[in-house]
Amino acid sequence: MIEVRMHGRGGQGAVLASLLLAHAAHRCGYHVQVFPEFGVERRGVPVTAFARLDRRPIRLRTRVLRPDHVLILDPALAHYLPLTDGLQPGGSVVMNAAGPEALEPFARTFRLAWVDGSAIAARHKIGTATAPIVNTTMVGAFARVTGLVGKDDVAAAMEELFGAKAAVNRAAAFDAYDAVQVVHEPATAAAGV
Amino acid sequence: MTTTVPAPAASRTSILTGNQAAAWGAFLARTQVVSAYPITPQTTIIETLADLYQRATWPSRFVNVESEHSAMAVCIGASITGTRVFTATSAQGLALMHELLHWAAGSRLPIVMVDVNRAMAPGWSIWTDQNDSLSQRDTGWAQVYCSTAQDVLDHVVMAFRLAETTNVPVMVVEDAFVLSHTAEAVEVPAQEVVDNFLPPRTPSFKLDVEKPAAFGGLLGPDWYQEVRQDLHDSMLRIGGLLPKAYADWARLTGRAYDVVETWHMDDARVALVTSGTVSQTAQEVVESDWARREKVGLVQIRLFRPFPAARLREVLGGVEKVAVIDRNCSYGHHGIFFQELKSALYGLPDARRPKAYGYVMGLGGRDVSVESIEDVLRRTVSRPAPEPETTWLGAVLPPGAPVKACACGEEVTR
Amino acid sequence: MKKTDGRVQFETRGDLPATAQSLGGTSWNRTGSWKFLEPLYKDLTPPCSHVCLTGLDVVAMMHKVEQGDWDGAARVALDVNPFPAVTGRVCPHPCEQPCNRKAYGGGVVVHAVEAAVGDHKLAKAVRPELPEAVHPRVHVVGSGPAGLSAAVALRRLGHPVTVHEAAPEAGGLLRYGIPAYRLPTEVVRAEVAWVRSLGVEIETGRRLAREEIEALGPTIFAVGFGRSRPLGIPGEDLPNVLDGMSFLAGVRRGEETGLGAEVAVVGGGNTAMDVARTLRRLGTRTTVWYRRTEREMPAFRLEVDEAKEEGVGFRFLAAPVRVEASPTGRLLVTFVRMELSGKDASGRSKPVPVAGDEVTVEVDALVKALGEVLDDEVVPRGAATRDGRVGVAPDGHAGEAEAFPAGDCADGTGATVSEAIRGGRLAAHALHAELTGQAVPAAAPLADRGVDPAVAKFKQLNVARFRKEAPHAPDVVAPGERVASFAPVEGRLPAADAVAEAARCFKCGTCVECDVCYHLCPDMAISKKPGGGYVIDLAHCKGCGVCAQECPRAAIELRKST
Repeated sequence: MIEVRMHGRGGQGAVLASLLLAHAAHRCGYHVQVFPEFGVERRGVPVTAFARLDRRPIRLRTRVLRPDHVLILDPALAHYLPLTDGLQPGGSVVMNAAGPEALEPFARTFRLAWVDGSAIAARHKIGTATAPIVNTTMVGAFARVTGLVGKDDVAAAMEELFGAKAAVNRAAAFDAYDAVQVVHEPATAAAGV
Repeated sequence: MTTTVPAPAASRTSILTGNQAAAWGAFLARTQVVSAYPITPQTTIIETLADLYQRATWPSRFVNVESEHSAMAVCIGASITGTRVFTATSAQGLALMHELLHWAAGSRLPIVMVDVNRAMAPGWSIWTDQNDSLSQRDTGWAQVYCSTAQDVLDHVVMAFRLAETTNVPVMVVEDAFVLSHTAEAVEVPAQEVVDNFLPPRTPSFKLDVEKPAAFGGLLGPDWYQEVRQDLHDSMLRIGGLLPKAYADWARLTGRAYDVVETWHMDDARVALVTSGTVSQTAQEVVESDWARREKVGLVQIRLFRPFPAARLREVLGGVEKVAVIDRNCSYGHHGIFFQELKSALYGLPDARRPKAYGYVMGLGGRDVSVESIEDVLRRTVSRPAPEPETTWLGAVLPPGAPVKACACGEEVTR
Repeated sequence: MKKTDGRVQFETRGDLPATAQSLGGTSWNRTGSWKFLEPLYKDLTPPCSHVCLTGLDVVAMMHKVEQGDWDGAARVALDVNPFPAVTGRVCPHPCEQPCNRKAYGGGVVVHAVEAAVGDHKLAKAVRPELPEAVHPRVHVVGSGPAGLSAAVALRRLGHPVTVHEAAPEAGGLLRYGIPAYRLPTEVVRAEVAWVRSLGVEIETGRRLAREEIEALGPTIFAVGFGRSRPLGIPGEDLPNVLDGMSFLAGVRRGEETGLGAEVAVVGGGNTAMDVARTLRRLGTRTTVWYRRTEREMPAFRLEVDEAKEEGVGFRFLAAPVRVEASPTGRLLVTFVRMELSGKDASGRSKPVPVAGDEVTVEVDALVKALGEVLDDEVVPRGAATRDGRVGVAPDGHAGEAEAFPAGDCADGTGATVSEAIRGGRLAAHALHAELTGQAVPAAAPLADRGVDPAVAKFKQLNVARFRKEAPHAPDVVAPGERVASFAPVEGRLPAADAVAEAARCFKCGTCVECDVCYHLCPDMAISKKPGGGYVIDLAHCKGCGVCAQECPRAAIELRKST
C-alpha cells in the first residue's frame, strides 16, 4: 500500500488534489481511499489531505502516520510544520518552490523534487496572479516524480472531475510534469505495491 | 467535493465519500420528502441531496427547518401522508430529535435516517463515536452500522424496503469523517436496479383529508401494551427480512452482505467483535501471521436493532474468548455492544459459552489503529479471565509514527 | 371489533389499526347530558356604536374595512349616514371616548377610518339601492347636512326630491360655516355631486320667501340659523363689529381677507373657535373673550386645544359691556369681570358681573360668536318657535305648518353635523309617512342584527387574543405650519393604515367568526353553519364555558341550562 500526505492551506485545494490523485489512480487499477484531516477547516490555516493506493482492497480506517510520499503545495509551510514527519526512507518530497534551495532542510534519505507550481498556475491563470491555485498543477509534478500514475491518467481524471474546466488544468499539470526537477535521489528505494 | 453526476442509466463506479453515498442512496430510492437540519459531519449529505434533487423527475420537496426536532416533525407529517421520507443528522441533532424518534416509531412510520456517528458534547467533539446513535437504542428504530461508503449507499436503499415492509423506521449509521468524509470507489447502481428492488411505497394507512381521523390519540391501558408488542414483533421481523433483502440485492448488484459478517471463524479460538469502520481495520489484523497462529477470528455486527442474538450464538458458540471493541460506553456498566453480546451469549450452554472481554476505545475520534487492535487481542489472549470485564484502552501508535500524533498523555505505547 | 353509535371497541389484537388512529368518533359520548350551564351566541353593543350620534354600526364598518371590503364598509355607513367623508372629518367623534382599546395600546382612531370609508364612497361612487321614484315629489329647503341627509333619505324611499338653496353653492354650514382646514371645499362639492348623482335636484342661488315655502306643500325645513345672537350692548352697531357666521361665510366665499392686526372674539362655542382660528390664518392676533371659564366652554375640546396651539389667546370670566370708537378709528371694547355663582337654566354655572371691575382693550375689530338663532322671516306660518328654533311635534310636524324641521333650526337637535344628518333622516321618514301613510322603521342596524342593548365592557373581553399595538393615526400638521394656510390640519389615513387600524378594533361584543370557540371546544360541539355563524350541539356541549371564556369579544354568554 502507498500512503500519501499532502500539505496545503485552507482554500488551496489540497483535498481536491487528493481526490484528483484518487481518480487517476483508480483509472490505473488501484483501490483508493482519500480523506482530509478530520476536523474543522478554514481558509489560510494549514490543512492536510491523505491518499491510500493499493492493488488490494483497502481496509485500513486509521490515520496516515507513516506516509510514503509528501506533496507540499505551499513552500511557506516548511517554516513551521515538520513536513516530513513519519515519511518513510526512500519516499518522495514533491514541493512547490521557487528553486531547489527550498529542499535543503530535508533529510537526504528522501527523493527531493521541486517545481515552481505557482508560476505555472499563474501563467495558466488558475486562481489569481497573487494567489494561484496550484493543486492541479502539482498533481502533474507528483505523477512524474512518484511514477504512481501516468500523465494521461491525470488528464482523464481531470475530465471526470472538472468537465469543461479540465483543459486549462491539464495544460498546467503537463507543464509541471515536464518541468519538475529531482535534485536528490536517496540510497533506499521507495516502497512499491 | 466532487460535482455530482446525473443518475446513471447503468451502474458505474464513482469516487464518493460516505455522505455522498448516503445521499445517492436516498436519491436512487426516489425519496419524496427530505427534511433535515445541517450539522457537522452530516452537512454534506444534505448538500449533496439538495444538488441531486434539482434533477428529481418525481414530485419531491426539500423542507428547510430551524432544528432537528422540527426536521423529524416534518418527516413524521410527510410520512403519515404516505410519502417516502428521508433525513440525516448527527450527535446533538439526533439527541434533539429524541422525543420525535419515539413518535415516529410509535406511529409506525417507515422513515429512513442516516446518523453520522459523532461524539456527544461536552466537550465539543465533531469526531466519531457511537454514543449518539446507541443512546437512541430503545426508541423503536432499527439500526444498521456501516463500515464502507458502499455499505452506506446500499443500506439506505435496503432500509426503505425494511421500513416499508414492517412500518418500523430505520437508522443507517456511519462513522464521522472516517466514513462520512472519506472518498473511495463506490458502485452507484443504475436507477433501474434500485427501482426493481424497491417499488413505490404503498402505505397500509395514511392521513387522508377526505377521510379525517385523529392520529396519535389517547390509548388506554387496555390496549397500549398490545400496540407496543406489535412494534416489538415488527422490529423482530426485520431480523428475518434483512437476509432476504441482502439476497435480492446480491442478485441485482453482486454485492453480498450479512447481518453478522465473519472472517476466520471456522476454527477460531478467539473472536474479535466489532462494528462500524473498526471492522475494516480489524480485517487487516486478523490476516496477520500472529493472528492466524493464535486462531483469531473476526465478527462484525451490522444489525444492532433488532439484535441478532441467535445468529451471534451460532457464530460464537464454542469459541474460547470473545473480545468486543466498543467505540461507546454505557457509563456505569460496559460498552454497549459488549453488554448486548453478553446477554445474547447467556443463552448458550456453559460448555459452549465463551469468556467475554470488553474494550472501550476510540471515543471522540481517537484513532483505532492496527496496533491498538493487536493490543486488544494480545491482552485477550494473554489474560486467562476477563477481570476486569471492561478495559479502557488508549491509542497505540505504530512504530515510526511521530509521538505527537496522539495528543493524550497516557496509554501511548509502541 | 364492535362499533356502536360511532364507538369502537377492540376485541382482539387483530382489531388494532396499524397506527394509533381513530376509527370511530366521540359522538356516542353525550357529554351534554350533565351540563348545568350552556353557551349562547349573543352580540353585545359596542361602546362606540352606543354613543354614535348617527347610530352607525361602527364595528360592522370596521370589520368590512379589515377584510378590505371598502364598498361593504361604505354601505354600512350609508345605512345611517350618507356623508361619512364629512362626519369622519368634523364629527367630535364621541365614539372614540369609550373605546375599550384605550386601555390596551390606545383607542381606535374611528374618525380617520370613517373618513377613509367616506373618501372611498366618493371616489368609487358607492350608492345605496335606489327604488323607482314613484312617490310624489318633495321639497327640501336648505342644503346643509340636515337638508341633504333628508333629500337622500327621501330619494331612497322613492321620492323625487328638489332641494332649494339660497347660497350660490349647496352645502350650507358644510360649505360656508366650517372652515376649510377642517372640511376641505372639494369634499363638500364631491358630496353634493354625489347627492345629485342619486337623482336629487338641487337649485341654488335663490332664497325662497316664506310664501313660496308654504306653497311647496309638505316640506323638509332645514334652513339652519339665519342670524347671530346680539350682544345687546352699546356700540354693537359700530363698523368692524362683525357677526361670526357672516365672517366665516365671507372667508369661505373668498371675500374676507382680514380684519386688521388685532381682533377680539366674543364667545366660547365652536363658532368662536372657527372664527379665531380662521383669523390666525389671516395673520391676525386674536383673543377669545368668554364669560365663563374654560371648563364651561361649549366648543369641542380638540378645537380649543388646536386653537391654543395655533396661538389664539383666551381671556375667561369677562363679558363685553360697551364698544366705542377710538380716536385712531379702532375700537375700544370694555369688558367687565364675571364671577360664577349658582347654576343657570342650562345647568351650567351662572356668570354674574363684578360691578366696577372693568378692563378696556383697543382692537381693530370685534367678532360676535355667541351662538346663532333662526331667521324668523322664513318660518312658515303655524310653526311654533321657541328660543330661536322651530318646535317639532312628535309626528315631525312644525306645529300646524306642513313643514318638517331638521337640523340646527329644529328644536331638540344637537349642535353637531352628525345630529343634523340624523335629524334630516328622521324628518324625511316623518314626511314620507305623512305622504304615503307608510311608517318607516327607524334605522337601527344593531337592533336589526339582534344585538343586545347591554354595552360590552373591557373586562368582558379576552384581550390576550389581541396584540397591544399603537394606533395608526393620520398625520397632524404642526401648528406653526397650520396657520400659514387653510390646508387640512389632519391628513388622510392611507388605505393600508386604515385597514390596519380597523383590524386593531376589538369589535367588542361582536362575533366576527374568528373560530376561537370552534377550535377550542373540547367536545367539538361547535360546528359552522353553511351561511356563516356557528351552531352548538347541546347534546355534546358539557357547559365547560371554554368558548365563552376564550371568546376574544364577549360575544358568547353562559347561562343556566334549561
